[in-house]
Amino acid sequence: MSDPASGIRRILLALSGAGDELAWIDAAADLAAALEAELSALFVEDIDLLRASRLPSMWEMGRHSAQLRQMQADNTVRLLRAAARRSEQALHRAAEARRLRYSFRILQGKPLDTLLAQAGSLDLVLLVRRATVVTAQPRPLVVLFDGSMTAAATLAVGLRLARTSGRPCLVLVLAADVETYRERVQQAGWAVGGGAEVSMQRLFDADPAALAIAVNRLRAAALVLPADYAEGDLARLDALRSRLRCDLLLVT
Amino acid sequence: MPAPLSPEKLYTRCDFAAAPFASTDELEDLPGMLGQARAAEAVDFGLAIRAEGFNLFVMGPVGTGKRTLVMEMVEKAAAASPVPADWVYVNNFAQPHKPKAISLPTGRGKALKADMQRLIEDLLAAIPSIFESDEYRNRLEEIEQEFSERENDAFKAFGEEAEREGIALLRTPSGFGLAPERNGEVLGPDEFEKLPEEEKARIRKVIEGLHDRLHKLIRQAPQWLREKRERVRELNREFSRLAVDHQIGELRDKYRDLPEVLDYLQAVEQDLIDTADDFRKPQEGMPQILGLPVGVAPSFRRYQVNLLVDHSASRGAPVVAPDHPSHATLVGRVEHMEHLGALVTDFTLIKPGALHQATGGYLVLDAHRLLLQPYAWEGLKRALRSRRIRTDSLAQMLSLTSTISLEPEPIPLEVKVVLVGERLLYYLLCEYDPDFRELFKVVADFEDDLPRGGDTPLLYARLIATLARKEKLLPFDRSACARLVEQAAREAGDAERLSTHMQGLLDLMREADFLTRQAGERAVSHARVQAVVDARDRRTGRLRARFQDAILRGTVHIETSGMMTGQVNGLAVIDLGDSRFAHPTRITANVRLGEGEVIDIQREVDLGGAIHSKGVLILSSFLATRYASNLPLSLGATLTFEQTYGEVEGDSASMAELCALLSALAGLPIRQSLAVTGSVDQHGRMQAIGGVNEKIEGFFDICRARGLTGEQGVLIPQSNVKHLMLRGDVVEACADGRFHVWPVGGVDEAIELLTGTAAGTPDAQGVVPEGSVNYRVAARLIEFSSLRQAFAGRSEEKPRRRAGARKK
Repeated sequence: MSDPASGIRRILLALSGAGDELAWIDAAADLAAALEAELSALFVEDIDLLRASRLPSMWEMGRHSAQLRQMQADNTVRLLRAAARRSEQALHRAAEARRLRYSFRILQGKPLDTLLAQAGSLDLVLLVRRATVVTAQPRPLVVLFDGSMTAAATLAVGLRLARTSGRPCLVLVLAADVETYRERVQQAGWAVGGGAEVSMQRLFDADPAALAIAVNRLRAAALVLPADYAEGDLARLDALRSRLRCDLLLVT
Repeated sequence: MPAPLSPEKLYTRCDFAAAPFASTDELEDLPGMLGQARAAEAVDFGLAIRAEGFNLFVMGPVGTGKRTLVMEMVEKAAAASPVPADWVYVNNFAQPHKPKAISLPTGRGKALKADMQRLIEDLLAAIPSIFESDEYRNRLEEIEQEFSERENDAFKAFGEEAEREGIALLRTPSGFGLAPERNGEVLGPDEFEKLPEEEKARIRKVIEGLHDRLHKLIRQAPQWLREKRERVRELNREFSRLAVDHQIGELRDKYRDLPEVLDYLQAVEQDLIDTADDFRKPQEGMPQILGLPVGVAPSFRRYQVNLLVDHSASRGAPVVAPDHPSHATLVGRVEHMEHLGALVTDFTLIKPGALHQATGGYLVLDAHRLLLQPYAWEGLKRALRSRRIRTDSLAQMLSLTSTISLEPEPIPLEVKVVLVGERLLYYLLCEYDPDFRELFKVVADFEDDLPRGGDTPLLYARLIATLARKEKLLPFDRSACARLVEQAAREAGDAERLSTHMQGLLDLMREADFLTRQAGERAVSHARVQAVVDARDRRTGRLRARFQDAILRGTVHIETSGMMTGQVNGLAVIDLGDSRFAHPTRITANVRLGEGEVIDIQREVDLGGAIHSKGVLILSSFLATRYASNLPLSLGATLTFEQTYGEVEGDSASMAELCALLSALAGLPIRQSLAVTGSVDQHGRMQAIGGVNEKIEGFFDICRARGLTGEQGVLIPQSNVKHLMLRGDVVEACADGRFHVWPVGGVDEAIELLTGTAAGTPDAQGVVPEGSVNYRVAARLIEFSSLRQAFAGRSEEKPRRRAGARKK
């Protein structure tokens, strides 16, 4: 059942069989448990990779061994399916342990595009950078409040996450001028409600480089971002993601 | 013929009638120990001299109070000696299996232990906080960012370069792939096939080139990772040093007068800096599976101080007297603990032994207990020889275990060892252990008894007073003291000496105190002491009663009246546990023609001890010398102890045996109402024996049970008269003339008393009166000799005749 406070009904996690994805599943499951939301994993078979594997004389170089081996379509499909199976089993275990509702789907396409295409209203898209590390002094959760349509919902999700994980919540209020800043602080205050303690900081510019610098300086555990930020511009989201040193959560 | 002894000779009373006290309440304590001046002087000397090997062996019978005296003297000496240094074991960071031993001035061992404990606690707070600081985080992130960017940039640059060549860099489940692309889309096989051959060849060539670069890039990643780790490690060291320097600096100031501690602190500092990461882990928590911690939590035990010897609360030098002196309790031990199913250990598990505790002071050990413990004596000797305490595991030494253990640095040993034991142990060790004399050069020999004369009885009364007060007993009145003195003489087996067996005296006093309290009296009297003696006699009298019963019921034949030739009552002592008593035993002799041999049946069947055999040989020699010096001794005699089924040892029956033999030879019967005890020499003189009191009492008991006739009595050596401390009922019977004790100087006196016939003293020509015992013995031997010669003549004649017959 979705949490009325956060309004998030589903958490979307994209998997593609590359990297430390099994750790991401646990992180996503924790998040879903905290928000009492459904966990939906999408295993995206990279269409470019499938296509490339059908090319003659296609070679793959091992990530750690640096050894070359010929890549064939059948092999690639088998590898992807094996990776998908592992991910599904890991998801099952994580969900069972937390009594979560979950779903697992295998799709073909470009990972980020596919993921965002699958996100509906009040979904939280999780773009994990690395497994969360528990430290003595919890890193803050940073929320971008940009005055967009989903900004209030994003802030509610951020607050909820911060409370459940015992982290401070820090709101970056995007405002080019003082007037806008005041206005958005007021909006954010309404969204937060009485009693909650949040810190707010002004952010002058939300382009990927500036936003990443601000978030990295705050040593954030995660950045909670309204999906409007990437509306129609996946390259912008990709650029931000590559610069961030924390997880990225998109609230659609 | 000797006269029976007067009652005064049978029991030497202690007369305190004129003594200046009514009870022990009026007597002062007796300082030191009565009659042990020689031993006390030796102990004093042994404790004072500090030269190597001058350890003490204090010997003497059990219960003489030697241990009490030694402990008093040792404690006195220790109190006047300086408090020795503390000892600690600390980790050896270079070789952890060889912990280092450090000596510190008294009390500072405890301080160092506390300081190190505090240091670790402080660092557990300080180091994480330094690593949580903005400065550290920024520096760390700078490094991480640098390497992340380096990797990202490298792959990004590679991807861009590939893209410029129309090649896409793809991530596969296990690595990277390169594929031709156009307008951001990877070409499919059909599209690729449609490309001109030149273009295909170019793409293949480009991809090959890119493979080489990608290969280098991937191979470089681990190197970057190593580089990054080293940079992070160096950063950690830099920040750790900030925390550690400050904390260790304080300790360094505090212990600047102790170079060994400073060296140790330096090693600690270096290790702390190298392993500071461990201090952050407790803060970050342990990884868990199903709520249970997994992995190994960092341990800070290596910074602990094992305070092995702590004299912070000591006054004077230590005195250690372990009750169970095993190898481990002497030289210490290395304990192990279970960890994940294995036994592990470290320097904190080194436990001190008595030698560690006693170093700089005194170690008092019971020699018997020490020698009973496997390898304990060897361990002690090794420590004393090398003057170092090496804590070795016995199991390791004997290869009984293969568990990893430690080799702690040996600790210098300076100790005075006092062994307390019986004389036998001392003599055995002297004889069989060549190291013993080198290591225990001072011997203190405690007396078993002391002379009774002079003011000794009064001093003994003061000793009773001291013990009574110390043990919180009722006062002993004058008569009780006198009875205790008399009992001490009886215990000594000598009317002129007193036993020094303090334990026996104390037990007697306790029992008398108990009876007195039961009776509701305020002071212990003669009667109560006597009651204790009598009660003890009854309690331990079961075996004696069985022996007496066997005699009185006729199972064992002992005559106490009438006359018998070749039979005399000897006396044997039984000493078993608390039972010490004597009973009569029938000694018989048979004589016949023979070749001069006296057969001791006991010896023939291996039931006679060496001393007993010696006695028989002596009496044989006497017989031959006195009666057959100028003719062949043509006697065949047999001697035996009738109805004895165990080994007979000692020569105290040799006079009785001789008298039985003379009776048999002379054909004169012996009075069975008498018993004889005493040994005989080659000249026929009677010699002293042991247990004279018990022997007289043993015969008396049988006679009394059958009815005292006034004829009964015991012949004892004159030299034993001074040992007489007989029971009251025996003395009383003798005073009334119902029983007698005769002191005898030699065989002639004995045989006269036994046979009632004069022994026969040779006149100036060497002729003894006819009819005397000696005359009859000599005549019988001459008769045997003549018979033998006659037989010899006939036996020589016969072969000659046979030879003549052959000639015919």
